[in-house]
Amino acid sequence: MQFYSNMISFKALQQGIQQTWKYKPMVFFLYLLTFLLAVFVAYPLKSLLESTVGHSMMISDLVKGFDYTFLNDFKNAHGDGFLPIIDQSIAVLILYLLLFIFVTGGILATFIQQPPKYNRSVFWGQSAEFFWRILRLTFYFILIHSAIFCLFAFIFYTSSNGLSPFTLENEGTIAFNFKFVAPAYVLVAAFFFMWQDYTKVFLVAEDKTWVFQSLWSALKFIFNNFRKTYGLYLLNLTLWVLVLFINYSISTCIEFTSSSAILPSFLISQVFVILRLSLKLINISSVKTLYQFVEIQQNAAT
Amino acid sequence: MNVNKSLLIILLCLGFSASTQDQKQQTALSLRTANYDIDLTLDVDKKQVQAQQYLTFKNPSADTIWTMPFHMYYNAFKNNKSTFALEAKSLISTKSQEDIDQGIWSWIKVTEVIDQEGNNLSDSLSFVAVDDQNKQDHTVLMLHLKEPILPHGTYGVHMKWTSQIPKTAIRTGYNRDFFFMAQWYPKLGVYEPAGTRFATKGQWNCHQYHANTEYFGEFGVYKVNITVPENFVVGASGFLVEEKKAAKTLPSNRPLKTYTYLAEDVIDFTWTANPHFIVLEEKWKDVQIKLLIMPEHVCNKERFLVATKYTLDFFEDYIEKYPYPTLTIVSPPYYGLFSGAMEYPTLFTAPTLCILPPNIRTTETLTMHELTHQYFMQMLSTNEQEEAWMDEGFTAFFEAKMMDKFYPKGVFYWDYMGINIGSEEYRRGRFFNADNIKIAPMSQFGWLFKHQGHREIVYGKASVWLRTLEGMVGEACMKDIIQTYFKRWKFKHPCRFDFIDIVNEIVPQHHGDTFGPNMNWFLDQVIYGTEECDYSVHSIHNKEVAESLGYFDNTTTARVPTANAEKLYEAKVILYRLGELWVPQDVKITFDNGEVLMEKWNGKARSHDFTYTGSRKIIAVEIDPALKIPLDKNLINNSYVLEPESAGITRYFTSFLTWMQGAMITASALI
Ligand SMILES: [Zn+2]
Repeated sequence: MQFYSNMISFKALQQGIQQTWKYKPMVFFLYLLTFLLAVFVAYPLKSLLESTVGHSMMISDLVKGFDYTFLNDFKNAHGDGFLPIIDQSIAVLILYLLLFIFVTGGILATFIQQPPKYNRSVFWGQSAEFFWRILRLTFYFILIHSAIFCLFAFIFYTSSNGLSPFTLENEGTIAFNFKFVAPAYVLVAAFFFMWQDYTKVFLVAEDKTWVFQSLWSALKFIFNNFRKTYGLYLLNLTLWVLVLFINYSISTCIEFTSSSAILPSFLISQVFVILRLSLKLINISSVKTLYQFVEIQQNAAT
Repeated sequence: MNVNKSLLIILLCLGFSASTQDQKQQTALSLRTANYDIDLTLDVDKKQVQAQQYLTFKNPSADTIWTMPFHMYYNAFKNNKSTFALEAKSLISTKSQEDIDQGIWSWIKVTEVIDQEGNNLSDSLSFVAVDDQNKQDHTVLMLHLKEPILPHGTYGVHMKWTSQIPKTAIRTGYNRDFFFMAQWYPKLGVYEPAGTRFATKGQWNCHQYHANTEYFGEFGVYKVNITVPENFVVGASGFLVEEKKAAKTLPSNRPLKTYTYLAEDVIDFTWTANPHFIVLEEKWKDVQIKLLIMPEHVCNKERFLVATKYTLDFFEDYIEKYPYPTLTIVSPPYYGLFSGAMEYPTLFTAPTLCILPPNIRTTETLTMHELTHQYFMQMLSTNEQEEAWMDEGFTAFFEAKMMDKFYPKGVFYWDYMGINIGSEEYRRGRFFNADNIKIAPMSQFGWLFKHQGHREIVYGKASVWLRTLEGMVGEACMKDIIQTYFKRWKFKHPCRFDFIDIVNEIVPQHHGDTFGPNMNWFLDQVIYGTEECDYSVHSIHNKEVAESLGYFDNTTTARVPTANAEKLYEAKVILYRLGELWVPQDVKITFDNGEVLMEKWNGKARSHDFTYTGSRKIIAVEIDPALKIPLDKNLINNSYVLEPESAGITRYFTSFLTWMQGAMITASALI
């Protein structure tokens, strides 16, 4: 049984990867969206730098990357010009989240309906169809995720006596508590993120009017198939950690400090942006696949 | 001579066994003006110290002295209206409401005073508030003498006193079983004969305890018997002469042990006791390094010891070898964190954390900083209350120099983001990030600084202008200045005038009159002024000079265009002085034919032009190309290129773009 549930999780992941590849235009659409929105805020930064400090010889040193003195002097001399860019970044971030909420319905519908290839009318039609429901769902889960985070932060804070030097034996207590609380948080939070994913799948697959119906169905489904669902979620999490680790290692090992390195370094970073977006879709697709596997089994049994 | 003193002298002689003779200074390093024999018992249950001390004072002047002021630092925590509490705008953060409700405050009380003639002076004590006349401030105790201290005479006084130790908050105190005892005894002020420092007539220098400022003390020899429960590990200034079982006991009947320490030619004495300390010993030349560290921090021992040896090596070369036989480093427990980082004679505290990653070099920075204070504060005993920049500024300057030399990757680095921040640039950055870098002149007494301005001026501005001075006069000249300053003033009490005199003496020896007859034009601006320094390259102009054509004086034929004439340009660069502070500047001018000119500008005028007529055009200009003037608050506008290289901006553009994409993807995890 254990072996079987592991197998089914692997299979779901494998199919998730295949389907994400099959509907890769969705990945590219999301990539384009992040790229254009990021350009929308990065370009004003470029213009600000060019107009204020563009003629300084210090600029040529910036190819090496981080320059504390430059950043500090820039902040003190032209920091006011940077404030609108921060505001704009926050606005863009919120806009991206809204757009992502919008297309989530389309992404799920595409994976569920499985048109022979990426179908624009399925994608956009279903995006519009589910927007308000997924928006509400996101809102509920933001509350749940915040509550879970606050709970763990509270546990960590109180178990470390408020980090107060006067009451703690030594700071090892903080490290020790963190070593337990952080992984526990990841494992517990993963459950709620997983619940959110299955709710979305139920919502779109069964086209329920009320989000709460899907929430309840998803919860039942997760508990009835806990090993499979949680196993798959941990697999997805492992994959995500792996990609981050590779990204971190490459950025740490290779020094990009000359002007000729800007393009390769940028391209590598974009590959990782695409990979991370793909992982997001692989997760959704594999969750949906697992749901369908179990449905098929149950139908076969009845 | 009274009985107590005789007893103490006998004890002293007994204490000096032959085994420790070699640790004593062969010849006195200082005048040894204020010498203490202290015998104390630490009551770890009541958190009290019971002590008696015999002070021998040698009058350094031709004055007849009738008073003796004592610092009573623990009285700063006696009530909530002390000058310290009022200046700090709150009680020490570690004072619990429970203590306040139960009326538990900290204090130091002298119960008996007998002079060398046997006169009882216990009724001749009064508190004075020399700085603000605050009657509730009891941090300076004035003793009125029955017999005066004669010119160049020696005077002895015996005191009995008790103190209630505060909870550690500002450097000193206890928490649980950790005791860090600094500024813990009635400490005599410094007598300044006429002509020393700012004294126009002989006077005591003994300020109240202020929230902002540190200390000032007289050189002398301390012999201290510290009696503590026998399971406690003790560390102290100076060296251990003897340890033995104590005859006395506490009310709790704990077995006690007495440690006898001797510290020579020091301006203060500090000690610590805690049952959990591990003592790690190491040698640097003939100096015994003792690291008192908690078991959980032993993982960081090399960080302390390596940084210590780097610093000792550095100063042996730069100034003079560390002259004391011991150096004690105290790394306090987490629950005693507020006792560090702080410097005391031959002992300093530097906190560390076992969770501190190696790329955050706080442990090394603190070690180098506090150890540097052995030179700037202890051997060159400046007045930290009146002129805090003379210890903190010099120390911050050397800390940055050593950190950048021995840890070139920076005080903080992270390879993932390509981040590395050097010590010197960090110190400069912190100064320019201060709320108001013009808040007050450096010459102002420490406690008069308002609105947190003290720290950034005495550490930040001072270290940055010292680095600027070094930039202008060169490293060899700066080394000569510091060496001369040290040799002339070690084991004395210099003030800013003494340093300024040496700068004005040494700079002409290296540079003739390049900088004028003296350096006061610079020193006055940075010590007494509050203005900021900022120079900029405003613009570059390459204007084509039209050929002279047509009729001119005495010409009968019109001049016509010359065939294939080389184009002439009036190439001009316009420089601005944006700040009020001026310094001479080097200006590097690069032409399109590859030629480079190094020009000098005295930096005084509000603007200055360099103009060249010829076939070449200016393509780039740089003020202060060798970065000699870190005091310039904006280094970005110090240069101008006509056709900028955009690669740097492109790099920042792509990095920011990718970073934004990453932020979006991370945030979408919520959906
Ligand atoms: Zn310091």
